[in-house]
Amino acid sequence: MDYLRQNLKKWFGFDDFRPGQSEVLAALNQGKNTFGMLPTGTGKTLIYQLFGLMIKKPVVIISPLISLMQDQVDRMRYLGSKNTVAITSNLNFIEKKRILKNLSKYSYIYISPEMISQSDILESFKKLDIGLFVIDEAHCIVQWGTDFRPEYLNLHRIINYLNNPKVLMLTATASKKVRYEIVDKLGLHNVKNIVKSTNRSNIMLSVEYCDDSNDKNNKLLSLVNKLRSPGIIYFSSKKMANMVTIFLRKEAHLRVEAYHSDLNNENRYRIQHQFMDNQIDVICATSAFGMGIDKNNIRYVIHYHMPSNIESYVQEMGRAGRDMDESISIILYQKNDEILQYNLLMDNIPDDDMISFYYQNYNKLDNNDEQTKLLKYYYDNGYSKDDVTNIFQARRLEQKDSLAEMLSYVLNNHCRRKKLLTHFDEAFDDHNEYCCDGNHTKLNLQASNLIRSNNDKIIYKDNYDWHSIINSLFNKLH
Amino acid sequence: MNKKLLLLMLSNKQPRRLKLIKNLLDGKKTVSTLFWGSRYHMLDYSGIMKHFDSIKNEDKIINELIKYGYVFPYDKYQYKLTNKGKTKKDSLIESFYLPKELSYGFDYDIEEFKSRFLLLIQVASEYSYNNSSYYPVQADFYDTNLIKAFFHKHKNDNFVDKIYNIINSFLATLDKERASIFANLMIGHDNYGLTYEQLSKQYNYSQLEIYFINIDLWILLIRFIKNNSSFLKILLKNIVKNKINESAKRTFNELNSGLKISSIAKKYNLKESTIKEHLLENAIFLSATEFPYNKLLSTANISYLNKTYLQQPIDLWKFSKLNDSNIDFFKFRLYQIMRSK
Repeated sequence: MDYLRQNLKKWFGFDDFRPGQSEVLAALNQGKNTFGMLPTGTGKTLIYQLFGLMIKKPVVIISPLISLMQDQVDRMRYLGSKNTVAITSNLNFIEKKRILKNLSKYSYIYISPEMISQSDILESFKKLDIGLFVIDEAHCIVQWGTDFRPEYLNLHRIINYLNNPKVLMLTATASKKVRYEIVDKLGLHNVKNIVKSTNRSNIMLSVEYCDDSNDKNNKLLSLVNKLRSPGIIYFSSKKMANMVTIFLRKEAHLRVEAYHSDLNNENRYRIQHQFMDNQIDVICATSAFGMGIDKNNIRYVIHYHMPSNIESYVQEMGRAGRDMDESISIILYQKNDEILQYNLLMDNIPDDDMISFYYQNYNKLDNNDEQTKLLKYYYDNGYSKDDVTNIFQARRLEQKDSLAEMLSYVLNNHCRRKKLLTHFDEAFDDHNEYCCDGNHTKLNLQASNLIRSNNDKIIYKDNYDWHSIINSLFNKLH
Repeated sequence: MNKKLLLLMLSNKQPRRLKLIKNLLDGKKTVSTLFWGSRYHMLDYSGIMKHFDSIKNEDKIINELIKYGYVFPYDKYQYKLTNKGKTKKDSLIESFYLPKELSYGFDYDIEEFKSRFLLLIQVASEYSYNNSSYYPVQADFYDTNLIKAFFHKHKNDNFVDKIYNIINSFLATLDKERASIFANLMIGHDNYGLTYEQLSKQYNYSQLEIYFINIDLWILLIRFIKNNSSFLKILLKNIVKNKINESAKRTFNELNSGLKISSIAKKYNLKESTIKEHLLENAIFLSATEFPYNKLLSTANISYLNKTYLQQPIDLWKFSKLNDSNIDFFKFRLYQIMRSK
């Protein structure tokens, strides 16, 4: 233990680990495949970063999103691990070849399941003496495995092919059932489980019930005017995120920006960093925002649309309060909001007609859209039409169940935290005015320092003179 | 597409095809797009919308312009400005920012150049604060390595001052407003610049105009570096490209060296129709004296064509009038280009 802490001090300058970190490291040191379920915001990256430094062998990280991967690579470099690389479809042929040729020179290699499934890439990884094989956001294996990311199901075979390197699965959100399914789908045995509570006790939980969309907008406006910034508002559609951004700019006199996949790299960078630098009060985002970002002082997360499952909710609301100060998560619910979610979910899964059509016309179709790509995967892997119909039927039911569970959280009037933690097989009985607004409790926002005060002045940028901007850029102000 | 932009791209004298304007602005480079682009005197604008927002709802916009009385349909595909539309266009020319620095002969890879330059400024800026721990702006693998190597080669040789001086002398050549916009695009130590949307609010332009101002600023900087800074020339690698693509240029050279169309096609294993497209592309961009029309059009061809289309406006020529001759569409189009010069 002391050995671990010495290394922590030596490389990162911290005196102590956060909950779960040292247990996971100890299990890895004993050579065990390890499942780490640690709450959002507890520094999961540090675990494999430190482990990589200790064993001096490359760490391979399977990561779900390309946009997230670039954030992670930037963050690793920022934290001092400069020899980090991401192998993504953004690389051209020559770049990819160059990286694969020098693969052993990198200490941390991020890659998506799709990429590592390609045979030339897999061969390069086979030559590598992998120190640790990390599956980040491991719940995606179950959440995304059957619909739009079937390659996640390949990981089992890949791990075998790579001579069974030590595996570390990391997630913040997985029920007992999901954890079991992850390990099962990866075909691993004797896994050491390090499971910490999902509970984020410094985030108060609230649901506001709205009569109609007008009422919802008014409630939202009054919340952002009342609560201390910065905050994130999550939406299910880019269009709504844009509309509410305009509405809030006009009505709330705050610095509000929209953030979603329509932004190009440059604007994405600007907005992320303006937000990190407290130049933006509110971000109106779709779920694309935040998987990679690490901002400590977010005081509130509001869901304008309810999430489609509890795992996503816990991930997104977990952006708040990473500095351990009091924060709040609020879902704005209007009757039938779940129908929007339901339609979005069903749109992602090919229906029976589509499956029939594909199996009849597979050789005439170009695989451009997500659904045909998905069907192609199953077709190429020898699944029959009936197999696929059954798989997607089951998937639809699962997603419907997950949505129903989320809805039951939203409609529950008792302690919300208890309800949430039940999903992760945890008990909870400490309800009070800092916990949630279930049980007819009035949250004590004042004492939690969550109410905006007159001291929270918003400073608008006022320096537009090019001389002084350039002088400040190049440290020539004095 | 922005209503104002479309209005500016139409004329009261010449009927213009809506789809063609869209394809031209989106950067489609078929011979037909390029030919009509040159007929509309709009070739400079080829591809300007490529990195903003592709034009999707042009039918809806044209209908709105018709409703306002600015535009009327000339036939099924072409539109013209009304007198009211012409007056509106004249006032827009005064007030709407269209790119002014585009070049007839060259394409600039502005996106690539911008990503190099932004990274360079960030590296220099953080270096001036002795900070090596920061999130770099995104650039592709090649550009990142280019800037990295450049930085390591020069960092001990007044690197910051050199860049600082170049950027200051460049900004001094601009008017105050555009200099300020440019400065607000830079990313560096504790400075993340402004998004197009933020710039548009601050300077009272539409986002499309901000984007056009951006195009001009980057082209001006490219030219500034080309003429004034041997130090930063490395940033220009592969940035300025001839509008005529490489294989079309090759075809042109082969023609000039005496090869016939059929021989060029054979030599490069291409279809004759491709070779003809190459030649038309050259003819469109080159001046009348630079292109050897007499190698492809015989005196007899020319006098026949002269007689057929005597005193007709070029835009209205119909190829079908040549049905009884042995003149193919390639020669017809080539003659049309020749007469346009």
